[in-house]
Amino acid sequence: MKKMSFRLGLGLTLLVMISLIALFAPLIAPFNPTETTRDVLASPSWAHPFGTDNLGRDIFSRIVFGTRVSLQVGASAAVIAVLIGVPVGLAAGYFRGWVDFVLVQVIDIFIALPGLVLALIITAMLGPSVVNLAFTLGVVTAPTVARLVRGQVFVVRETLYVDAARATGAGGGWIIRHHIMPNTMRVIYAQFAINVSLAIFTSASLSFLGLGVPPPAPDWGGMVRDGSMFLPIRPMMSLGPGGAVALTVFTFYLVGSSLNDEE
Amino acid sequence: MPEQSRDPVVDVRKLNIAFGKSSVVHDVDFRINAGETLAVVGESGSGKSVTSMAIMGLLPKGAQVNGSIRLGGQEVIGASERTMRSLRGEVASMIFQEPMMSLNPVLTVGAQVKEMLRQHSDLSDAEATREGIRLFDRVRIPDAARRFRDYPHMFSGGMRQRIMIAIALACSPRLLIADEPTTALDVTIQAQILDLLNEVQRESGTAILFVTHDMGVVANMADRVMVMRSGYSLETGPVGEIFERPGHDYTKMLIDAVPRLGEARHVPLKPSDAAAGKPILSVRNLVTRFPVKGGALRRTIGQVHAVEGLNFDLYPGETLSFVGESGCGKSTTGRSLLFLNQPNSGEIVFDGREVKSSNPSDVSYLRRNMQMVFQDPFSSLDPKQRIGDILSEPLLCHGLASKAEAREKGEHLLERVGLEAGMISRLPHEFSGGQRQRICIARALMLDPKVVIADEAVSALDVSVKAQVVDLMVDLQEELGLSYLFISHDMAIVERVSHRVAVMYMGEIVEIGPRDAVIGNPKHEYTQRLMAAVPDPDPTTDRSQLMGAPVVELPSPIRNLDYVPPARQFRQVGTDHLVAD
Repeated sequence: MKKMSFRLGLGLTLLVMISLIALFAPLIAPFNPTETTRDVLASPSWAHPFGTDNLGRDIFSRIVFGTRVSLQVGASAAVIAVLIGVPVGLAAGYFRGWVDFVLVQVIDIFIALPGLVLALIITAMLGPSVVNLAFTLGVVTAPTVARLVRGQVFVVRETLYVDAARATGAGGGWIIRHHIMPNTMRVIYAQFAINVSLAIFTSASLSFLGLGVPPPAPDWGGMVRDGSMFLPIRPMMSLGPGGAVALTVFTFYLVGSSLNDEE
Repeated sequence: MPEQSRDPVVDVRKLNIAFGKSSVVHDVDFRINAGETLAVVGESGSGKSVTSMAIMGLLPKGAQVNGSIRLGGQEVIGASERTMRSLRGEVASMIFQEPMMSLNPVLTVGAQVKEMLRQHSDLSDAEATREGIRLFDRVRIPDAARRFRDYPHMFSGGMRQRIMIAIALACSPRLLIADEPTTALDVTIQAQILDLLNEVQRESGTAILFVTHDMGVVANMADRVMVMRSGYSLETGPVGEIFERPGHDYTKMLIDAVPRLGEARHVPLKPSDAAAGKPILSVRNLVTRFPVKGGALRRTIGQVHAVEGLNFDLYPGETLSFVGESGCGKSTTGRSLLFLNQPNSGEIVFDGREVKSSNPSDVSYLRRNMQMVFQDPFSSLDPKQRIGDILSEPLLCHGLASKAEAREKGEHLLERVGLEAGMISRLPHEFSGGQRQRICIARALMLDPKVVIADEAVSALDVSVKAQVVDLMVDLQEELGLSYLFISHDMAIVERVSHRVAVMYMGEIVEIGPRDAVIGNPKHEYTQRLMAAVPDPDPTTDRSQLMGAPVVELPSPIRNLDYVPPARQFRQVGTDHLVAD
């Protein structure tokens, strides 16, 4: 194994930290994130590091619990994207010919539509819920995965070691399992991480528009929207969750892009 | 040759080069006078290319260079980039191995010559054009004035190397550094480029630093020779002396690797059982063509006739070599036999059974009994698979053994090809090129094949490693009774391993017969040209002999769709020795 790059090291460190926050949210957060109190719009203090919102909920605790929601949405969307994108990409890349032609047209149509708009339409039809959100974002990001996998399969298919395997009598299924998949995994890992960051970003945007995670669940995009009305007096109400979105998106993007750079 | 001037053109003393902690050149000393050629000979990792880059001041930033390099009286080590820019081109210039990569694909070749001229002189555009065309004429590019505005991709490899030479000579440098300038070229083209360099030197008295691994080329080019290994200069001396009395075993080994055609100085091979018995593989009228697409609708507008009407038999225990230059169809032949490229027509009979590409069980039968070793040992092993998985694959994908059995056989074969059984759980990148090729051979033997197709199997290896791998292949043949279909452009190796030789030209066999007959007494005009182009390892041969020979280019194998290839007639000129008319 080669030495890990600084960028990947930093990305993975942040990733572990964010995951730990999500995992131990109840231990880290000082208050119940959905419990309203009469202490509304409190300014930051020792008890409430980021203050409280207009319903008296502790902003810091809501950000901490928001990590769970974000990671759930991001990771399940990325899993769905891989489940759809990888088989499509493999089929297009390996069989080529008319299979490839048809699949590429479909992929290109999806890529040509702006993801956010597509997600808006789907969530508007399905109604806002965490499950629908993850499904929508998975579908929207799947074409990118398919295209990348297809490209990588094209490359691997032309290598001499695939020829060598064919020459010893290996069939299509064997070659896909033993040569093409192992040599495509890195691309898939990298795109998985990038898709998580993309999904978190888009889900925050949807929540901001009111089409994301329904209240009162602590969701970053929704929190930014709630806080926008109080921006002049309690800027942390929006900036706190906004910063959390930025950091999480940055982390996953860093992991994905540095995985792509290696090799 | 002009008078030897008082000062050497380049004077290198106590040159040491290191990258970080690893030292790649140690205490190298040499000087080259005007009109003289010094050949620096060595294998990969010998430091020969790094040394030539140091003279041009082209080493990457991290390199630590010590000692002294004086180029035309000017110290290069520690010189500013500005000084170096004025030295490059005017005092020393360089040509590289890969003429495909060293020309800019989006500029016309004329523009690239003019760029060099105008950077170092104040010629007007029209004057630079005139001078550029004169240079193209000088490197004997046919129809120079018209081709001046062509782009690099419109030239063949040999022509591109001529253009590189023209650019390098544009400012009449005193030193020309040629780093393996002919390694990527076919032998007949190589011979023409070497002639050109000799001719240029006689006219202008340019000193040449010739970097190569091929002693045959050295004998044709050099006045003096420096042999390098692992960064050390082993010996330096006049070319005649080095060839007659090599002072080092390593030098001797390099010299022995050069073919001496027709002398058959090698231990004769164990005779094959050709006379007894039936052929193991019979090929009749094999044709493989590739479509050439064009036009807005990407319709097929022509065909590359890669393999055209091939007929041959391969007998048990014999080696039949296919020789020829790049593009002659020899590799496509090998790939077509295993249906890696789909042949258009033809009959393949393996061990008495006719094999059809349309029948999956035929294909599987063939791929179980006939195996292939590829040229590039770096890309023919899956970087993600362990050696054990690589070796087991042939047995497992045919369902012929359990995992444990396959692994046991893999360990056994690893030992048989000269590696250790314990290496079975390593990854390919942990091995050198020669070791990787041994692994490829072991993989090919996993199914106990009767025939192995070796497609340039040793061409990418260093001279010393090449000899060992070839010896291994010959041993295995005797032990296992294998038949080899040996595809190569390297006459030295072909001469070493073959029982019979087939010469291919433009997709067809033009001459086939016993090794000594074809190599020693070639009858077809193309075979004769091919043999004449192989560098003569005798430095005393008159170098001017071949000069002025016309520039010959291989014709294009692309034909129109309605082209019907003419039927070939063969005449017998000796025992089993056939020549196309």
